[in-house]
Amino acid sequence: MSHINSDLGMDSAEYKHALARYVWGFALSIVLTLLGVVLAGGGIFSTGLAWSIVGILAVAQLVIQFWAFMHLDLSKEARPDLYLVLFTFLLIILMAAGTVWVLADLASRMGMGGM
Amino acid sequence: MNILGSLDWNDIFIVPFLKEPTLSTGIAAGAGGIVVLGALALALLLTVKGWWKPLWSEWITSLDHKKIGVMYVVLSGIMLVRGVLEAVVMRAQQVSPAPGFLSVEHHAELFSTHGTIMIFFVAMPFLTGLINVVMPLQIGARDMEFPFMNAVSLWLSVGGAALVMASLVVGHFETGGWTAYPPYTGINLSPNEGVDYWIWSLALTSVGSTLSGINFAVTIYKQRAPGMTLMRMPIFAWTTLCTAILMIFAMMPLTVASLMLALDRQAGFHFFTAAQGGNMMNFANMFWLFGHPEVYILILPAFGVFSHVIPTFSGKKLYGYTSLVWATIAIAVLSFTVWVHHFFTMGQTTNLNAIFGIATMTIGVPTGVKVYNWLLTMYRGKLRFSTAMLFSAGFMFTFVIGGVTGVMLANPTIDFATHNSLFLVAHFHNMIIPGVLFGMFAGVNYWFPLCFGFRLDETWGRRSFWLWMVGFYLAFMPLYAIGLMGAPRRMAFFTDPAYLPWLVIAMFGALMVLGGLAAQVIQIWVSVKNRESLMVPAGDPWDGRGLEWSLGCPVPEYDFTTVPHITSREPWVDAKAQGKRVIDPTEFVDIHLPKSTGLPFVTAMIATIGAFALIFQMWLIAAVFFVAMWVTVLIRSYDTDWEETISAEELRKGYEAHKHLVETTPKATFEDEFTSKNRGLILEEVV
Ligand code: HEM
Ligand SMILES: [Cu+2]
Repeated sequence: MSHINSDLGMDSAEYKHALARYVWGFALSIVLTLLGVVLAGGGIFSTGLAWSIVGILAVAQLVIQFWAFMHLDLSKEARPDLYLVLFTFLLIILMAAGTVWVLADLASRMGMGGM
Repeated sequence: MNILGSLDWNDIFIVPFLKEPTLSTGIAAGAGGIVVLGALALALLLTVKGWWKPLWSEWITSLDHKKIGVMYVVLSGIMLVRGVLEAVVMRAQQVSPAPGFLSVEHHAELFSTHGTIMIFFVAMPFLTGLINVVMPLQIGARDMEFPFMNAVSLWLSVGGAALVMASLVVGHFETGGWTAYPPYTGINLSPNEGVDYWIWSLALTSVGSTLSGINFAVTIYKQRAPGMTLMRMPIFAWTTLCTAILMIFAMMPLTVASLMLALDRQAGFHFFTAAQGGNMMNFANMFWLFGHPEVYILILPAFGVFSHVIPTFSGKKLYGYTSLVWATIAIAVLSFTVWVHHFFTMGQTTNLNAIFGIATMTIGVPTGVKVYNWLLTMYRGKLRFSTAMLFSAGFMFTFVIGGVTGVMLANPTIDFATHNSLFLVAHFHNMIIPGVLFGMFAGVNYWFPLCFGFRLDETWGRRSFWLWMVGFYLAFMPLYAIGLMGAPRRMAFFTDPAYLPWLVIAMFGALMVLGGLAAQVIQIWVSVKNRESLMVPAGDPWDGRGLEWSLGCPVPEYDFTTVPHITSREPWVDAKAQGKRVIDPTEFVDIHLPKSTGLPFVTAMIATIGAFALIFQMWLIAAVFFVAMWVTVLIRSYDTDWEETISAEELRKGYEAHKHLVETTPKATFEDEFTSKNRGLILEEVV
């Protein structure tokens, strides 16, 4: 956000706080990504388990990026933005899951496997 | 490789007719001729009257939300004329002895362009235009959040419409209906440029709509006047917000699906082919992921209009504000859960169909709530039947019938019998004509003075209403009947003589609708001619209730002289109740408005030419224009001198002048509402 650079002094507490949040977000994202790469390539877990763990890591990273870069949290000021993001997820899940459901259902009727 | 791609002489509108003169090619050539001659006549008129310059400097380059709104509505009006004319030709085709005077392909082109135009280039620009004019005025904003982007959206829509018009002159439009399902629209079965016309004209306008959606939503979130909480917003702003959110999310599946179809056609992909693991059923799925929310994008703004027109002309507060808001939100969310009802017959299991059937019936509930809200608003009100009110009443009556047939179709077992029949065609016209067009017509008749300072002629307005209303019933009730008798949709001709009497009635109805449209053109003509006596300089000619009526008519460029502080749901009604005729000014400060710029127009026209090049596979030209389009965006990004200032002093003068005008305007009563005595600020006589 531009006001962090322009309106606040470079050494105000608020600026430092915001900067820390960005750095944390960046660092955590890298760590989580590397973890995913290692898990996928390492062959430590069975395929199914590796898939689930990578999935969980991905969701965790999503949450962290919303917190660090989009300034989303459970505070009262961020509440309207939070609702908008949740609503967006609701719609995306409806569309994506709905599509998978419909297509799998169709496939099941054509002897193509699926559900 | 040919630089002009697949374009050749046979694509020019007159050539097929010269080679093989039939009535069908003659009509095609005639339509192309009308477009060319119309364009020439317009150019001539502009030159003779010396209007090129004002057109450019006052309109095309304007970033004023009100002017952008007006231009959207003009676009929609022009396309409506074409859409209705096509409908009349289709109706004439089906009453003439089989096989009729149109070739089968030509008839297919007609229903495809009619459907595409009516949805994307009539309904969408109409509601986008109305929102542009009214929403900022209702929430106390001075403009959209992103005025430049607003103009880009407008000109992208114009570009899309221009491509559809161009298809009359150069080449052909597609023949696969407005839904353009593959495999029929794949490259094997539709090798010519028709489907590409559909894809790229939609790409332009759907990007425009997505941007408009973002603009509207952000404006409502960020630009409300102080004190206007969400639950104090006028209903039209609420329906705009929900429509905007639907636009943001629902245009995407369409854009993506049509671009995937383009990749299939031109780049050898297999998203929707039977070979190589493609699945054409996913196109239907994605199309309706867009398509169902789309019908609510279309209808919610009209619901907003009715929620203002009905209270105003009933002289009562809107009944059940909170329930209306929640009904709107419920509709917006539920509209994403019912899309499968458009393809119950595609082969899913009965369980899946049943679930979507029930979801569909559920969405009828909040819609029903709204109808009761409006009815109870009218109950014991003192009704005044202006043109806007007539359209609203006609809507309520007619829309309920359409809603009932919709609930019937929501039952998968019934849908299996009526799918793809004229019963369905009757149903959706029964929703869309009252639910979208009547709403927009009511809105134009109601809010017109805000833009131009004078009212529209009531006599011709009422005539247009009756022609539309009766014409609608005659044109579509017969389709319910023959639909149930088994008549399929999209047929070039019927051989069953039992259908003929019904089709003749429908033909007559379509002609009446055309008459209604003509009456509207006359209405505007007469109103412009008599504008002196229709002038309402003091504003608020109908004892209106929203903030937009606290401004003079026409509304000045800067909209509000000072930003009002809102303390209730109907601040203007409160002010009037205290005997005030202006809302008290807050603080006069310098304001900044964006300067006019021709760049949005240039960007969109470059995009349009690029899209035309894609349609005819002129890859090199397309690439050049694609790059050029982004160059214009870059130019804008480095433009730092884009604002101009209106001084606090000028605003104060504007306020004083308006106050003086309002105080010296003689009072008029409801008896004089539609006469020249109404100079604005009409008030009910207190006995
Ligand atoms: C003004 C009076 C109108 C008349 C007389 C009319 C007439 C027709 C006719 C004859 C058809 C072809 C039916 C068939 O498949 O056999 C049709 C299709 C259609 N109309 Fe209209 N129409 C009108 C207005 C509208 C409006 C206002 C809209 C939407 C805003 C609209 C949207 C459509 C659509 C989407 C189709 C389906 C096209 C397809 O099959 O792909 N129409 N109409
Ligand atoms: Cu639907």
